[in-house]
Amino acid sequence: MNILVIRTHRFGDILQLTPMLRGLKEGYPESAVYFMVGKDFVPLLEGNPDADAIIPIPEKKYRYLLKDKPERYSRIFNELYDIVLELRKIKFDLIINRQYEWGAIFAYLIGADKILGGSYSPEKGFYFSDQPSKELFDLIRNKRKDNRMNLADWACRISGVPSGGYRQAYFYVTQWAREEAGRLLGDNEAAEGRSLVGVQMGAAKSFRQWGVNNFIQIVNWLINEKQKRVVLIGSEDERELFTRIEQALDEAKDNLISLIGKTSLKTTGAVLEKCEMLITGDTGPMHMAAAVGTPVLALFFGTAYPWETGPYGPGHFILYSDLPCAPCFDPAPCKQGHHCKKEIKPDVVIKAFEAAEAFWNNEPVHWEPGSNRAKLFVTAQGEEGEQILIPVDDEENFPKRSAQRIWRERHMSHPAPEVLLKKGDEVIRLFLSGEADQGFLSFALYLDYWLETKDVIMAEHPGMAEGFSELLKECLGAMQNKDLVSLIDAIEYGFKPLLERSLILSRNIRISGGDSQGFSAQELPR
Amino acid sequence: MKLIKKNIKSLIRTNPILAERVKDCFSKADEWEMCPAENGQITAKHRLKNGLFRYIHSRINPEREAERWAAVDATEFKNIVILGFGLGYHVHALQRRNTFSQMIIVEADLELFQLALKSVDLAPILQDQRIHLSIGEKPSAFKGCLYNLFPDVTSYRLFLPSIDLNPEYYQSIRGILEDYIHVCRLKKDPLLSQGVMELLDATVKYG
Repeated sequence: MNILVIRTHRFGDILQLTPMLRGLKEGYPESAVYFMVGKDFVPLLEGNPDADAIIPIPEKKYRYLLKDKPERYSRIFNELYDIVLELRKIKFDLIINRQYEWGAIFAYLIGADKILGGSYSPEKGFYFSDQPSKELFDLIRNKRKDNRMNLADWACRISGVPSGGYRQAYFYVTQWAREEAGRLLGDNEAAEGRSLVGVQMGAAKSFRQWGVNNFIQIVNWLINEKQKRVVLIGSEDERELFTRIEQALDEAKDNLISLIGKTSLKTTGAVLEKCEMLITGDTGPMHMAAAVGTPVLALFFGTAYPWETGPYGPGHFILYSDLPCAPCFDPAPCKQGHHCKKEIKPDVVIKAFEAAEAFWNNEPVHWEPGSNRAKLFVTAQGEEGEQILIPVDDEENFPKRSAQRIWRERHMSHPAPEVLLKKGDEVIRLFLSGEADQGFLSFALYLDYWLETKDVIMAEHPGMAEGFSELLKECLGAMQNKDLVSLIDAIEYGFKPLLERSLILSRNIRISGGDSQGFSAQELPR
Repeated sequence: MKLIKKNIKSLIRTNPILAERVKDCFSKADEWEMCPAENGQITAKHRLKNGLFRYIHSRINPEREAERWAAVDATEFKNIVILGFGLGYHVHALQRRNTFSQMIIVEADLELFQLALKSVDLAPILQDQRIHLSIGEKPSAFKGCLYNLFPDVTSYRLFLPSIDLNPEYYQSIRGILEDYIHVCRLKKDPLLSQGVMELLDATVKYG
């Protein structure tokens, strides 16, 4: 069975589809799941075992070129035309479109036995072919406050993933990203016994920012009162927020690390994984923290609605400004002067943090909100496997749910040599088919996988270490010169023989149970 | 007979004008270093401004690399354009697969083509009546050749090591090709074309 999922943009929305991917794989173990995603967001799915193939679409670049460089129209037309023809060859049984109108047209052009989510035909225009998608659309449009289901669960329902079972968001952190995160954090993230708390101050739009002065109070409190180290996470355009925080802190800034604008998606995941918790608004990093198993304290106000987009998985805390007008659709012309934001005061966040910390430490939770508008919820999993929000002040419900602790699994499995062989072939294919940029990016990822695997391979076969170092040096030079021919040679005649040798040796060792090709018994895998 | 003589002799038969131009052009020997690959074939490395090199074909086995290049997109094309000639191994590999009716090869660098004639036996390519060479010509000349030779939708393949040497030139060539393919597709499959155009509109509107 061939399944295509379409969702090209919005960091958090893509990660919110990962529980559905897991459900599809469990429901249809023999299926091949393809995921069409914006090129910039490919790392969100790289390494996810539930996505068999990723189809990157440079949708953002297309948008820019179509607006600003109309002379490129033909080229974009032809690229999309080719993609449609290629995808038609796969013959999809099912397309799950979570990209509304754009995805609906794409799904229509590719064709499938069944299209779920937004659909399109020239006769009908845009429509929903399945009941859950229609319900979701009506609910969000007309009765948003009645919705009690997370978008991750809606996606499961739309795609027919059965109820029950354990649902979890997933983001694969590579070993290289972990090393990079360690380097950026100074490799002493728990320096002087201080654990690390992540803070994400920004959001894509200013009305979703809680306010830098509020964050200054929180960061000060975390460092001075709670003896934490704080790492700020965010994109380049949030750098100014850091400058303001840094100026406001005096001695405390020794325990403040800014990684604003310094991390890739993979490294952000690795940094979040190292954090004890993350304080954030409704942002992409919030979903990423949840997906790497780091507890979240999320601040929801304005358009953000915790039942819809709360951090997915049990044990996260959400402070929600539950005004009668919340959640709003467009807070820009707010007549209340964004009162929802003001309901969440720093002292309320501090109390929420204490409550969450107690919960995570299995201690009694105490919660007395300073304002009856700001409500604190903890996420949990319902009997059907769906996410539910439990009010922390609900004494009847809270204790019996508190046993549901947050999932925090370390994804320490290393790619097998067979996977590396496949990845190497894929890089060569990209270069030879003329995809230079994609080829160089994939080669960087290939090296990343190698760095993860090398310790395992070299531990089994230490004689290969020298050859590997030489190869690595050559590759770095070739990368600098953009010498793709030498990179192809390196994969084909350098890395590949190493892998094949490793595979042969491992097989021989397993078959004979003894020494093989000059390797001593001490070098045998245990 | 020296390779260059043999190659020029073949070229004169099919394209005497190009043969004259090649004979007249100066070699950029200082920019290129021809060197043997491990399998004995010739490869070349291009000297970059920083003093380092970039290879144009594999330094281990150019032929094997070329076979792989030809196999990447094994679709049978009636008409195909190859952007970048290099030393010609990949063209030869495609020729051996024999899956095309007509081929245009575009190479920006006449001097590199001259080096290829000196280093590799290109007679099978140069004598093949189905293969048309557009070497060091203005994009407008290529356009004329394309419209004249290929009346139908076509496909093109990129040989990146050549393209990297003259990116702007190949950008123009690609622009001509994309416009041509676009027009051909509109005629060939108006329904799908209409759908793709709606997708493009949606990319701007709903993105």
